[in-house]
Amino acid sequence: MNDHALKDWLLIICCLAVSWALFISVLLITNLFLVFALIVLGGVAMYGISRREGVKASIVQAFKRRNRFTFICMFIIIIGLPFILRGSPYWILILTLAILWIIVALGINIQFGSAGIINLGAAAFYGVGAYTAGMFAIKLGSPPLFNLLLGAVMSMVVGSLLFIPLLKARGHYQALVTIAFVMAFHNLLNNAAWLGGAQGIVGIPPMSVAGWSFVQEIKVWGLKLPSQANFYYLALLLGGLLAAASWRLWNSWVGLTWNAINEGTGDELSAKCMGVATGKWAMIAFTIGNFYIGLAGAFYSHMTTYVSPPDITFYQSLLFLSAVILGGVDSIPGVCLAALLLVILPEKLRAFQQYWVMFFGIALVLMLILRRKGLIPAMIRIYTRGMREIPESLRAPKGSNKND
Amino acid sequence: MDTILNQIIHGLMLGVMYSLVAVGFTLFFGVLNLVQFAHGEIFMVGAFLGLIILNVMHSFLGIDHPALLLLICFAGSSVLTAFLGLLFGRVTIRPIKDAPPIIALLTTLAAGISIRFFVMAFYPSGSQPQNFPRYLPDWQTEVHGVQLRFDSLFILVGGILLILGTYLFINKTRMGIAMRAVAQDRETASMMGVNINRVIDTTFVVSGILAACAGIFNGLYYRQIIFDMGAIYGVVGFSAAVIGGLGNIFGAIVGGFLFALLASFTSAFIPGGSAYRFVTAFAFLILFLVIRPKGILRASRGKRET
Repeated sequence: MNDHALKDWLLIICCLAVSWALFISVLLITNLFLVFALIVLGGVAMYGISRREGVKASIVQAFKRRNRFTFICMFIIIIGLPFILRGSPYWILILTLAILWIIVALGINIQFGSAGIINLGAAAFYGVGAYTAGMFAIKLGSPPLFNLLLGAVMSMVVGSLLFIPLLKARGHYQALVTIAFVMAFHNLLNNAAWLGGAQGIVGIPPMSVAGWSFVQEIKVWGLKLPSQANFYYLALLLGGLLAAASWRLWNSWVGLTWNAINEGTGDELSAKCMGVATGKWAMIAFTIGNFYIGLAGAFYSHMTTYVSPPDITFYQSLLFLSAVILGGVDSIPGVCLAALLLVILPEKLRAFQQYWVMFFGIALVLMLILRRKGLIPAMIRIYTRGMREIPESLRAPKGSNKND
Repeated sequence: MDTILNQIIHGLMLGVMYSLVAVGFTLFFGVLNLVQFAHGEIFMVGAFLGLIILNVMHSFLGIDHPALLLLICFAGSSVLTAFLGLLFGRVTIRPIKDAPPIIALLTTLAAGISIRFFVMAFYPSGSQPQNFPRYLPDWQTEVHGVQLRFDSLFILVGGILLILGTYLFINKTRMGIAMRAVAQDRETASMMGVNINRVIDTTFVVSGILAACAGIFNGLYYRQIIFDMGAIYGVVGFSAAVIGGLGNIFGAIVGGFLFALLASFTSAFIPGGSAYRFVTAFAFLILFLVIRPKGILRASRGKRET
């Protein structure tokens, strides 16, 4: 048994170390050909492993058996990233932005992935959070942490304006409500003088917590971390908490309720017949999602110290939503991965900036046509402790189509 | 009084363009039961193709006669756009014909974004607004203080003719009847011998022609076109189709005019309103969806609820 554990640990450490090294080198190497070669190499290696059933099975088993160990390793890696990247503050900033995107994507995942409410206006709620935090910081000088919370709450409050239209409308009409909202909101921000107009809000004071200003460098054991690491760690803390909350919600009866009212995974009519208050739960999902999105927006405004209308468009909303689709609808790890990729790839491909959106659109279309479940498909919940596989007798028969 | 009439004229002219796009949306929804969100981009492509044709005709072939030029421009752009729309439909719409509606909406949205940025990347200095040559005469007149510009009248008349043509096509021709049959019940229609794929292709051709003409109208009126103009027209066209009741051609036309009049009245009567015209228009839209979630005119009889 002990021997077994050692083998598992080694396997896990090897896998994580290789992927981590690959990730760091992809970030830091500027030569695009080299980066591309590395990614192809990694892909080929992954493919090779997935073809060899024996190797694949033992790796998967190792990760499944030792998930606490895996978790600790991942934790150390993520905490350690700024130490490795301390020479390039730029990438720490980008990773912080990626964490914000992950928070937004998790919020949309609750709305769209779990409860099936399509939100094509996520950028508007992001904007509500950012503008609220920015306005309060500038006009009243309120403390940044308070502003974060305020931005998130404000986003929930503004979201409640859409309750009635969202409950009345269905399908396409529901999508249109959120689109119309973000369009109107963008138009409003662009013209409202008291919100800074087209220039937006400039000069928002940077984050500070209990007297510790985030523009200071961190000194740990003689190592100097750039000031961006402050933002990274705070975002990491918030993101970790929110991701854990998201996971607990998903893995509870609440997540199940949301899936039941989702037309894609469940059936609203049956849920209603079973006594689920469908409207109430849909709006709870919408509001919680907006909390996530608003918090990320408020953090963003305190990180970049300015926020302007071009950040708050329908197109931006689509980008946010596509993180959920690319990663896998209702799949928390998938959504996180996709959000990370969606931030890092465009930064990496700066040289091809004008073609990026085009290729992104094509990739999204291909994903939607060929692999609708996303990069990491959603897991099946374990309803009974110890039941890892669903017995054949309980599986839905093949060919049963939920959309009929 | 004069401002009201002027705004009505402006609103009607805008309404023609919105309606032409909205009719496309409504046709797609009727026949395919999905929202074809790339339609705004097809409108933009139509305008750019028109511009390319005009420039090529003028500088390489040396044609100078304005009427002839415009005729070739409209015809050529319509044909090319219809063909591109057809291609687009075959590549992206056919695989998702039976997908859940939200997936279809997102696929077309993503495809539309690709098209938009394709134009930006590959049209020479495509991120800048492009000047649209002026071939319409500058003639204008005043009737009781109401300004009538030739281009507004041209667009008004041309658009109404196009809408009339579409109406006749849908109601009088064999293919139009097949389209309506598919809109009512796809399976039964296919059992009656209607070739579904031909109908889908025809839908793309018809809406492509309408969108291309609307795009050229837009270029002729504003004298400028830009790669991202399809975004706002896409949303506005969709909104107009929704106001009229998705799947209902007459409703889409009414919706288009309503939306345009609303936008132009906002800019006329609310001080500083021109900047906020889309705020009111979209706020109205949301309110409208609360009161009548199915549109002014209900979708055609026998339509499945979505």
